[in-house]
Amino acid sequence: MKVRLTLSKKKILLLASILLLFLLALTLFQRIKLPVYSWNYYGKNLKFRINLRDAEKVPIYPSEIAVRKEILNSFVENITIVFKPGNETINAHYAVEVFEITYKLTLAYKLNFAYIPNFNVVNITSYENLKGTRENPIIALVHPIYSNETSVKLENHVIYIKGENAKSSVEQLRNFDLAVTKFLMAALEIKI
Amino acid sequence: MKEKLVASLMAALTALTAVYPALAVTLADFPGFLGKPVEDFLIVIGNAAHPSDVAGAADIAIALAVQSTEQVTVPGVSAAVEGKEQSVALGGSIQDETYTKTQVPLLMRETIEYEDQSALLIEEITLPDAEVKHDDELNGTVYVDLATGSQKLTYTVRFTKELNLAGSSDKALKLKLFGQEFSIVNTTNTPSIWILTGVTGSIDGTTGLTYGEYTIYSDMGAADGSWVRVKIMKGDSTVDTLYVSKTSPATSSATGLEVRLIDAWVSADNVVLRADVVVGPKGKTLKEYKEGDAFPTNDYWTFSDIDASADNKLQGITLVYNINETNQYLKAGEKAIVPNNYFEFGFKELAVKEYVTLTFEAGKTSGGIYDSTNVETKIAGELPAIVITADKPVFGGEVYKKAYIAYNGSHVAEAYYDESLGKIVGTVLNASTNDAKIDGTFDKHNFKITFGDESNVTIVNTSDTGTINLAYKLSDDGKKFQLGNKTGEAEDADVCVGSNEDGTCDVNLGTQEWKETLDYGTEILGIKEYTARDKVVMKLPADQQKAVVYVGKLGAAVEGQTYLKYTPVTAPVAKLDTELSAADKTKNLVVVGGPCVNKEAAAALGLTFPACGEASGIPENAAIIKIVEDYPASGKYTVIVAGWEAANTRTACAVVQQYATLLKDQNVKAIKVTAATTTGITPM
Repeated sequence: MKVRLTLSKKKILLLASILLLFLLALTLFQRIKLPVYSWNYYGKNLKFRINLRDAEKVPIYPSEIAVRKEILNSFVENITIVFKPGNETINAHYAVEVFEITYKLTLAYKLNFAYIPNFNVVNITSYENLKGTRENPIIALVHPIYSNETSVKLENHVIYIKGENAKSSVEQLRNFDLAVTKFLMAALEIKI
Repeated sequence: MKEKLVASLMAALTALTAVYPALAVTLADFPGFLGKPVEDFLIVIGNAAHPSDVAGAADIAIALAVQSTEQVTVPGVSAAVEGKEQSVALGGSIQDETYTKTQVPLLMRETIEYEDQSALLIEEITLPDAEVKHDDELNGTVYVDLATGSQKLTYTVRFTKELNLAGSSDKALKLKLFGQEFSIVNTTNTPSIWILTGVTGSIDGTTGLTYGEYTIYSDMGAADGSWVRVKIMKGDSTVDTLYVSKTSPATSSATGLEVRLIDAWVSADNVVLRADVVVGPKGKTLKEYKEGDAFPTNDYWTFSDIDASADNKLQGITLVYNINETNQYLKAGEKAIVPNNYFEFGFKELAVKEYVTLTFEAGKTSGGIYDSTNVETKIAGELPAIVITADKPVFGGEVYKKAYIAYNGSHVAEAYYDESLGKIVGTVLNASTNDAKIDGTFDKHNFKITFGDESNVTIVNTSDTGTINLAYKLSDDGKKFQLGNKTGEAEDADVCVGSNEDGTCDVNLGTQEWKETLDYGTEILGIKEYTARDKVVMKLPADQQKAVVYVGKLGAAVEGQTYLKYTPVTAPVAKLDTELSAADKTKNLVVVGGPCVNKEAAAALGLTFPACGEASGIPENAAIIKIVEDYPASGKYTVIVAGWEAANTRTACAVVQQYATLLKDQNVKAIKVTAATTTGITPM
């Protein structure tokens, strides 16, 4: 038995419109990228303070690979984190970022190389003339009040992590978070 | 007062413990807590910090990261034995069985041909009936004492029928002992055997045999081979010339060497084609060995039985392994010394590899006891208790890892910590008519822990007569348990093992510094070290422990491997107290900084922010580590770490960092810290 389906022009137009809207929604949905606040690192759900998609945009010099090789290799014996203190709020920002860096790097070392290098945290009065070595790289945390850019830069075995200055303390911390998270993404080889 | 971020962060670590309501009810629960699923938690840092707190943040981060993984060991595969194994109970003896090629393939069982005679040669090893001990001689380590027993380790080469030896060097019997060939010239009914010793070889005019700095050649001899001329050379110079007959050796006065001719092949024109000789020091090329003499290459072995019924008759040779202070004990992995490593006899390993560790300590039923048949009903409050923690679920039908025997002076309770409920559940008994009893099962090991007569905990292996008695009793004020008569002090009677016929305990061990091993294999670890802290730690094997001894050859073992895996604890994120959202306040918190600088600390403590100085509630010149229940939400926990001043906070951080030694025994929700030592920590 054959069944004949007849559609009016109006119905055909309606169906075509629905199909078009569906395809449009699908396209838009694919372009929408949901924020990423955590990353599965060797089975561990690592959480981050900031959207990794935002941090991904932070410039890093000379390259992510160079930074990773500098900070995560089996020759490293000591990692020195230096910072220039400020008021109590600024110091609290440093504390938050130091926690983030140290916690995640410790995990990475333990899992990749089965040892943990020594971490030293030192407050300094100036970021000039810093020089690390392959065995003793330095992470220089530059708070936004001392910086005009958000970036990660490797130079003379020193990795400068800088947040751009901003008007409010909240924005300063966000910029600092972006730089620190970008550094961690490079170190832990996180690619969004 | 300045609470330090450091302290706070360190508190975070402690907080981890307390963060999870179901598991971290006291600071002592931290290790167990890590192994369980937990919810997200946050490290909350006050929005005001000292530079030194930044360093503290790193310390805490490292500590948390270290705690977030654990090393997992994949057991290796034991080496296979080409031979025979015996499993011997601790306190028992090895069975002195005799093994041949049937059991130990490397041994010989073959036909030997000698001067028209033929016999079956059989090698045998007889094991010693040595005892397997675990006494204080080796501080509780299990070992085989080879000095015990009447049968020694022996090695025998025997023939199925007696061989008649020719009695001359040229017709010596070639016989291998421990795989090394010897030339037996003759025997006596002393009994003794005569063996050619020294360097043996074939020489002629151009092919020499070297002994030390000399080389000997033989260029001419009698056509019938009855004698040869031997030149002793030192470099290119001839040092001496000897004429050596088959019937007697010749000695070189110039060198002190003795040369013995075994056989010779000489041409009709007297040119030596080949001469078999033995060279050695004077009088050493043929040596007599009697019973009691040491084996030529190994003093540990001596001839013990030479089966020679008459001169030049031989049916067997037996050697025995002699024991002195250097080879008396065989610990696991060690073996006897055998010439040429011809075979191995050793203590391979302990048969049972799996142990459960039980820790007994004085504590409390924190949070009270709920009815095991109706877990919503609380049947007892916080009572003094003997807390028994296992590293595997062995209690209540292999369900629980922590058991309690609680007592308030009139009633006794037996209870367990139910991790799924986050509660202690159990039953309260009438002490006058009931003893508390905790049943435990670990694989094939069944045991029970009882408490009766208002004191003494007894651990009984239900398949063994061995008992362990721990002298726990309530303190005079009835507020807590103590081990022995004095709290915090090791006393002989704190731990006792064995039982006499009258039911009294047999051997007091409370001040013993090394581990005690019982016949079943149960180990009571470093006793004095723990009893001094009113604590007892013991390891129970999964089954009756035995020592595996073996004879034969041990193949290569497959090494065990280790790898790191994460504990299922979510990774924390640090936030400032000013950053917390409503959603964040549904999570467990670790608050860094006190109520003067951290809003969350003030709120958790029910204070108005900022609450500084005495208003903070923090003791002057001290720090606190405190678990606050039902904050920031019902059923959640907040852990606060804060000091009166920076130095105090630092000290509290040190305590957290030294969790294993300073904090894990704290069965309380809060402590006051004045120093990073055991004496510097006071429960609050």
